[in-house]
Amino acid sequence: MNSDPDVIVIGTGAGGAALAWSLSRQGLNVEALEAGPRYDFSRDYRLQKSDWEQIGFPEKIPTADRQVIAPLQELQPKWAHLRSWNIVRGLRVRSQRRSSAGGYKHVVGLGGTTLYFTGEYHRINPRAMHMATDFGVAADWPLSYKELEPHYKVVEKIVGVSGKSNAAYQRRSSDYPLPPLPLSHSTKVLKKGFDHLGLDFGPNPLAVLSKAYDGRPPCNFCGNCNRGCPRGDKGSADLTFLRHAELSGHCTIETGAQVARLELNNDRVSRVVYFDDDGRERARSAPIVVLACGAIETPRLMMNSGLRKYSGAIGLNFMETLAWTSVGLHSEPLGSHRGHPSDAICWAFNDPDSVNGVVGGFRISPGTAEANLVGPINYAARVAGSFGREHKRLMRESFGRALGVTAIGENLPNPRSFVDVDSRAVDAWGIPKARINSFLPDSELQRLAVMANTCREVLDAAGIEKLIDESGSYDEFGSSHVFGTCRMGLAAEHSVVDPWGKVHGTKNLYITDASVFPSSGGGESPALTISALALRTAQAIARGHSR
Amino acid sequence: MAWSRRKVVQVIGAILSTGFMWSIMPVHSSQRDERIYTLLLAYTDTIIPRDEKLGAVDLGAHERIASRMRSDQGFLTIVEASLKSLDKRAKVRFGAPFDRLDQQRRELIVGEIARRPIEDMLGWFFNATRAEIFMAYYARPESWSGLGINRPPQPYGYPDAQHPWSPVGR
Repeated sequence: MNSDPDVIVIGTGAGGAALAWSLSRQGLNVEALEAGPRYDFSRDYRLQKSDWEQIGFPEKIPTADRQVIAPLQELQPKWAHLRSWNIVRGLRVRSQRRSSAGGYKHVVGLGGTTLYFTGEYHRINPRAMHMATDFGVAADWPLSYKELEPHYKVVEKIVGVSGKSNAAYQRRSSDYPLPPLPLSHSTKVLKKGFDHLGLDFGPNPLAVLSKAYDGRPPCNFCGNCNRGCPRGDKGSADLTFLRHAELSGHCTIETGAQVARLELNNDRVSRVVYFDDDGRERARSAPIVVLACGAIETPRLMMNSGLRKYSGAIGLNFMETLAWTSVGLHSEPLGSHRGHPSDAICWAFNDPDSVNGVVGGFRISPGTAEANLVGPINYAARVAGSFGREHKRLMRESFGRALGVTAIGENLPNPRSFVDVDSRAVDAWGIPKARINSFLPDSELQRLAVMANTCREVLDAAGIEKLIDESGSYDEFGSSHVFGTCRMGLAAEHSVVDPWGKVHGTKNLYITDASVFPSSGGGESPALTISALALRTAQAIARGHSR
Repeated sequence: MAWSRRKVVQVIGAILSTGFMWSIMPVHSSQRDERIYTLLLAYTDTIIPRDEKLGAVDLGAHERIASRMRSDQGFLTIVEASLKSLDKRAKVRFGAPFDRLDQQRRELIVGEIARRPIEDMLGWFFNATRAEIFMAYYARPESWSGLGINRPPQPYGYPDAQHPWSPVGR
């Protein structure tokens, strides 16, 4: 590739990576700037070590302090049944104010947060794309599911998605590339609970290989995807899109490149200014610039670059992960530390109107690994507790018996949830950090309450002896799925980008990450839709380039 | 006496600011350190004792606490004070130092502080040190005997994940 790229893409997660792959495959020269380092899946992940459980994902760049979270809402007695608690530790949040301890869960590295995800790969429910028209909330997507569907298919093929093609709730024009992963024993036990309640619970579409594919081996069910897959069977963006993009000869990647600002001239991005791995300020230029930094860092970069003049909606309409997890102790030993963490899913409540009196859907999947109960350290601290001989007895009795379910739901935008920058809090380069402002109104908590009650009913029907651990969004902010801060729409008054991802009023600036989502969907994991939208944006860029 | 976390921090700050710790440590540090270390071993053995399987001291879990004591002055102060408190309680209740008691009696002494709230200094000590012991002990494969696992999740994974499971015989 020569030194002048056709396109600069900033960020290499699900959006940036897919876009880089698509454009490089079409012969355009792409330069990807990634703030974090590369991860070597065979060396950097720790699941083969005996102390594997002591840390989560092995971050090379710590993420906890990269953003600021504004003070959160006070807790209310009427929602006491939504407090997070544990049978050993008691209440998780001891103050009367919502905690920010969970933070914005993401990875800074080549491949972004796909390095950390469990590989859930969902298409959005088409009914969740018309929330404004049908329900008077959020905004409509300015494109149809039908327009997105061909891109879904391409992404699923590149990544190697395993799924049950004829399952209920699917809207597909072709089969999944691979058959579904087999359900683990503990998921089969959980399924009895769903069956008892008359709820369909079947294989979850996953960017995790059920068979060898594209030079990568199949999953061996170790249950720890979010600590980093050391086999390469999980379809993280570095091993799928970016590997093929680099092989094309049309994509170069610079890691350790922290972009500081965009400089515009006549509504055109003229320079991308960044600090390289050695801390030197550098600048790059290209005919097209694409932001793919996620729903927190993309609006931050735009605000720090003075781009609010193009849309007052930058940073508004922030949507987070509305989640609930309940864990019980089953009467039988299950070996529930085994198997893919999220191998099955229930879509019965996914439609926006599936619950009377509540707008917005949700879905439910296994939650034992989500609760981090897959190894002896967490069992000791959060299931057995106690000490002495009693502790040892409880450990032997309980290990492998935790059974959890997680519900993830729609999160609708509200005026008190937004992202801005905090000029008093700067990063190592002196750049103001993003500040997350999150608020959950009663309408969100009503949906969360339904999610919590459903999880409890499922576990009860599945034969648990007692609940041992519950956690949710009510008393602690913790989000990996974040959306909406650069909404896609037709007019700059209410949105930031057009239906092709181009920033209103600019000539060469695009966005391709979950910040463009007009609504969050009913709990679907967003990675697949982010990548599909990126291919659509790449299509528009390539057409413009060829003209 | 119930100590709030804030009060604990204030007292530690006062001790450090007066140089109190530094003034006494060189004089009797060796003898005192030895006594504290002996109490730490006894306490660690109480949290996870050896039975037919190995205990926490067998696997060196106390070293994780000792290491943190060397690098965290506030932690050192609380652990020292708490271990001395356990020793004093043992002498009052059973007429012998904590480390000379059998497991059953040591468990009774530790049980007194285990019920205290985390806002209390001794309650905080129990929860913090127990977490360290769990973290160190269960990071050693020798501790997994009887749980039904015998190796980390990789490189072999759990190819039997679809099938029923029993911890017996694993």
